[in-house]
Amino acid sequence: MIFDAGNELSSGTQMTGQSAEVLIQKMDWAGIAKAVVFSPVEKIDNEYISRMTLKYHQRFVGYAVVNSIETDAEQAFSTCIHQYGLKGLKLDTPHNGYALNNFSHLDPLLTICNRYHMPVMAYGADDNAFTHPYKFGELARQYPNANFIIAHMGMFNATAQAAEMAKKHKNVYLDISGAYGLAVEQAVRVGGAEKVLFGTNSPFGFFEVTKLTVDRAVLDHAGRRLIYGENMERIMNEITLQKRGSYV
Amino acid sequence: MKRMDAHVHLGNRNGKRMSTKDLMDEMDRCQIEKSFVFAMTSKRGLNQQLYEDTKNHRERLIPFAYINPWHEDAREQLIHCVKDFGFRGLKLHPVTDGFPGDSACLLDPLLEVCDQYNMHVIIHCTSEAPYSSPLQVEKTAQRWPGVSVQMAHMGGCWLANEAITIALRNSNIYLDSATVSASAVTRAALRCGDKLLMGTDIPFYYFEMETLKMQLAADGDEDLLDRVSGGNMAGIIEERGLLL
Repeated sequence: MIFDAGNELSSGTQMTGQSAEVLIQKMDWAGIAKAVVFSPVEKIDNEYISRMTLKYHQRFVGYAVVNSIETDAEQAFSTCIHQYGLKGLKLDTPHNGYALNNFSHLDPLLTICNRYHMPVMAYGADDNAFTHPYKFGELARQYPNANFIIAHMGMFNATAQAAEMAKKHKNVYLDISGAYGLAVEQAVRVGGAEKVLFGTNSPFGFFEVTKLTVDRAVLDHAGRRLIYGENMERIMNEITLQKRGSYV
Repeated sequence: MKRMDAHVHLGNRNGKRMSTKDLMDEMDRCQIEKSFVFAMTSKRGLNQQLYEDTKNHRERLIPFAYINPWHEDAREQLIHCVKDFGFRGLKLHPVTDGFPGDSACLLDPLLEVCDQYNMHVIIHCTSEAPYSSPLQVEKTAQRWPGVSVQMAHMGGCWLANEAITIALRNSNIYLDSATVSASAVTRAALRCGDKLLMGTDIPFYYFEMETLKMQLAADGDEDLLDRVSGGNMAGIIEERGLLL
C-alpha cells in the first residue's frame, strides 16, 4: 500500500491548484492508496481540507496549515484538530518570514503537537535562511513527542545534513518530494529506510516519478515497503488525539 | 577603557587603497588599541601582502590568514602563514568562497592546524543559505572544542537569536557585531555579554558607528561596555597568545 506524505489540495482556481477529485484520479492512475493533504500556504482553507478528508476518509489524511505569526494561530490550530479532524501541522516558515526554530512564534503550536504526538511537516529545502535541516534537530530535541518531517529533505545542498538529522533524532523523518535519486539513496543509507517517506508534493510532482525514484534508489523490498507506506502508518498510529475516530 | 576591534579588513575603501597608516590613524582617532585584521578576500597573495603591511605593527594589528578551503594547498597555505608569517588566526568565508560552514571534509584539515597552534578562527556567519548559518558554524566549533570560533556578523539579518543561543551553550564560540542591527547587538550584550566582540568590518563601516552601537547596547553599564568594547577580545588574545 502506498501512502503519500504530502500533497496540496485546493478548492480555488489558481493555476497550480488541484481539487480532491483530480487528486484521487491521479492517485488511482498511479496506485496510491492514501495521501496526506493540506492547503497551499498562499491560500489557506483548512475547512475545505476538513470536508474533503471527511468525504474521502479512506483516501485522505489532512494537515492544518497555520501561520503562527497570526494572533489567533493557536486557536485556529486547535479548531483544526478538535473540530475539523485534521491530524498534523504543515508549516512553510520562509513564506511567513521566520525561522523554524523561532520558538517565540511556534511554541504554542508545537506544544500542542507534542502533547498529541502529532506529525509536523515543514518546508525544508536549502534555499533560504529559515529552514536548514539542523533547525529540525533543534525542534526534535525541544518537542520529543512530535514527529518532524523535513519536506524536500534539504534539497539541493543540505541533503546530507537532513539525513544526519534523521539518523540522530528518532522523531525526524525525510520527505523525498523533489529530491534526486542519489539523495534518496543517501537518505536510506544514512538515516535508514524507516526514516524515509514517500512524498510527491502533487500537483508539483508526479506520483509515477516518485515511485520510480524509490524503486531505483532502494533495492530491498522491506525498505521499499517502509518508505511506501509503513512509516507513515506508524507515524499516524502514534497520534494520541481521539477525535473523529481513528486517523482515517 | 581599551577598545579593540575584532573585524577589520585591510584593503580598498571605495576604490582607494586604505594603507596601514590610514587604518591606524582611524584606530587612534577612535581609541582602538588593537584590531584583528585580514585581507579583503581569500585571493592568493593577499596573506603575503597582509604580512608586509602589518609586520611592523604587530602590537596593535593581529593578522589572520584568509584561506579558501577549496584550494588544494589550503592547509599548506595556512601552515605557511603560521610558521613563516607568525599569523595566529584564520578567517573563513563560506558564502564568497562557496562552501558549507559545517563542511568537515573541507574545514577539518584547517581546523586541525588551528587546534595544534591554539589559534582563533573567524567564520563569516550570516543567514545566507545554503552555506552560512549559526547552526552550521556550531557544528564545526563542536568538532574542535580546543579552537575558539568567532561568528562574524552573528547570524546576519535573520538569525541573531539563533547565534546568541549557540554562543550561550558553547564555551568556545564568540559573536562579533559587524553589520548587525543595534537591537540584535543589544540582545547579545544583555544575554551573553562575555561572548560579544566589537567588530566594525572596516573598510565598509566606520569605528564611530560600532562604538556607538556598543554604548547603546551597554546602556550605561560601564562594566558591560568595557567587556564588549575590548575586554572580551583582550581575554582571547591573552588566552590564545595571539600577540607575538
